[in-house]
Order: sequence, then structure tokens, then C-alpha cells
Amino acid sequence: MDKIINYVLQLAQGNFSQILDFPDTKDKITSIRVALNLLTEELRESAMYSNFVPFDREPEPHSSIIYIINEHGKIDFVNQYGISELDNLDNKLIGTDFSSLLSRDSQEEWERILAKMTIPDATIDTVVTLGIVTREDQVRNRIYTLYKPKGMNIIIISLKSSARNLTHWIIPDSDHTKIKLRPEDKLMLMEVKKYLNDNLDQSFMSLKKMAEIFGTNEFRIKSGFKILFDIPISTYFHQKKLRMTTAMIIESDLPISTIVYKMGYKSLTQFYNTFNDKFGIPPGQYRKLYKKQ
Amino acid sequence: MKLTTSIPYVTFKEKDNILLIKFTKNKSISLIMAKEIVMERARLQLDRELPILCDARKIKYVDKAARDYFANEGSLFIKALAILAEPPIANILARHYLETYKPAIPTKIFAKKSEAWAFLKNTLNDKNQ
Repeated sequence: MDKIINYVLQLAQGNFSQILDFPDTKDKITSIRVALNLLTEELRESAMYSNFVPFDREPEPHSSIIYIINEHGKIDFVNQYGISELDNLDNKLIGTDFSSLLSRDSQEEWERILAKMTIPDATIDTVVTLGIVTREDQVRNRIYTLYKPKGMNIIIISLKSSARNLTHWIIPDSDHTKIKLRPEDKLMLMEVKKYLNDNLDQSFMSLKKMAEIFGTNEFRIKSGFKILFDIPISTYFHQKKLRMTTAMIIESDLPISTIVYKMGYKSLTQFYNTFNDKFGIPPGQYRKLYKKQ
Repeated sequence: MKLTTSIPYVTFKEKDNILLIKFTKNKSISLIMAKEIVMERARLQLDRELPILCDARKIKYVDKAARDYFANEGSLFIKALAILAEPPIANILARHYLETYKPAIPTKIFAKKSEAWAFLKNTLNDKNQ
């Protein structure tokens, strides 16, 4: 029980980096541990959306060093924040090429930075925005500090200005925030998100119609969604739609045209272009490759 | 009818157009395992949309990535879902899943297999679903 109390106190301080271990027993104490782990995972994800701010002091970065990259561009170290941010499939980030975790746009920037590793005595001390691709194939832009100490062939990556990312929740910033989201707005936006998830086989509903259904205005939906989920609402919908369509292509042997129309795409050509842009190959070939694996 | 699978911790059976998935060992389900299970289910269903009875009584834990996957890609081709769960652990996991994800397909938690079966049979008979 002491362990559980200490754990809850850590959660209360905003530390979501740990998970309780629990035995194979099925008693009430174990069930409390399970429930706390569920809570931690959900809080962790919420905190990444900047939903958590300690109100009694300046928000602090979740962590200092997130990644350490070696001279070959591979990850030598990653902390719990980095693992959570990517929701890494099987915690096998060590040894992974860091570039493979980035969006295409950011990969070029990263390669330029990495090239400095080959220059003797070069140092890197810069702040850069990199797009991290999450497990939902969404690109989240993060502001990182990159530091290469002189004489060492590593790059230390830490989260820069996470305080800034978080403060827009409670401190209006004319550069950053046009609206402040009230608790009822957040609830409404969660319902909007659920509505989108439940209607991926439809066309994207107009913001005007959405606003009517959810009893708000278009601006609050559009801006609020972006602030809360860190992604524009239409981008979220189309990325999710593509992801579910891709899953259906992989999981079934239905003709691709059937799947495409079932998922509400208006034209096969439009879908093929979208798919090709994302994966670099047509859906039929993708299906064959995936099933072969 | 028992269906053959290579996954060691799960069994699949089909009866009266209902697919029964049973977890046989105390396992914590990760995303990789979730994908494995869903792919196997899809393979056995042969593109049919079926009601599913998931016997989750032996599941130890399901991590966030796996839960998210089950709720999204993992819910394709499911007509209705009955989760067999007993207190305390499996029941907490099942309730969390239901209350957090609020799945669009009819989903309920049961302690008795007979009641779960009856629920799923109803969905087969319901022409509106």
C-alpha cells in the first residue's frame, strides 16, 4: 500500500513517467494497481496535448534530456517522455535511426545538422522545430534544443520551451492563442473528435454544420481543435480516414475499390493519389508487401 | 468449430456465425500482440462482419497503444462485441475500454457466457444493425 500511496503522490506532482508493476494475483490491491496504470497512461497522453499545467508555479519541462543520438544518427538513449511521445511500438527505439521518426520535411533539416558530426571540433547548440511522426501517423511539431559538446560525437536533444508550449493554456499570448478553452469547450471538442472517429466513412462535414450540431461556432471548433489536439481538424480527419482505410486494405481481401467507396472516398483516383503520396506505392502493392511480411 | 491459429495465447472458435476469441494465458497485451490478434481474426473471418465474443477473463493487462489499436483498426468487421470479464482485473480493463472509447458498435460486458451469447445472437437477428 505504501508503494501505491507514493505512486499517487508522484502522479499528483505531474510525474507520469512511471508505471506500477503488479503480480498475477487477482485481488483488490492488484486491481487498484491496474486502475492506476490505466490512469497514468491516459494522463500521460493528455499531458502531451498540454492539458496538464501545475498551477502553483511556472510549468516545467517534462524532462531534460530526451534523446542522445550517436555519430551514426542512431538513438543511444531515450527517456520515458520520448517513448511516450512516439508511443513506441515495442520500446525498441535504441539503435533506431532518429531520422526515421521524423516527418519528411524535418528529415532534411536533421540531415544538415547531422552532417556537422563529421566535422572535427564542430559544436551544435541550436533550437530547432522538428516534426515527430506519432503512432497515429500524425506529425507533431516539437521545439527541441540540440547540443553537441565539443570533442564528443553525440547530439543531446532536449525539449525546449515546453514551458512555452504549456503556458498558452493559462496565460493568453497574443502571438500564440486567440481563444482560451473553457472546460465545456474541451468536452465539446472531445465529442467532436469522437464524432469524426465514428464517421470516417463519410465526407468531412463542414465546420458550419458541425457548429450547428455541437452548439458552438466555427471558429471555436477550428481553433479549439488545433489547440487541444495539436492538429488541424480536417487534417486529423483525413489522416485518420486514410489510416482506417489502409487497415482495411491490409486486414481484408476485399477489392480495393470496394474498400475505397465503403470508406466514403468520392473517387478511386483521388484515393490512389493520396495513398501514393503517403506511402510511395499504390495500395495493391502495399497490401502484397504487408501480407508477405 | 475450433479454428486453427499460430498464436499460442489465444483460441478462436466459430459457432452459429459468432466468433469466440478466448485468451488462454495470463498475458499483458502489447500493440504488437494486438495487431497479431486482429490480423488473425481478419484472416479467419474471411471478410465477413461477425459478432465477437471476447473471453478476456485471463487477460492481465492491455497497454495504451494496444487499447487504442483495438478501438480503432481493431474494430473493423465487428458487428457487435461481448466482453466476458470477471472482477476485479478483467472487469476494470473492460469497463475502462467501454467508458473511454465508447465504441460505435454495440458493446457490452458480461460475467456469464450464456448472457453474452444471447446478446450477440440478438444482434444477428436485428436487421437494423
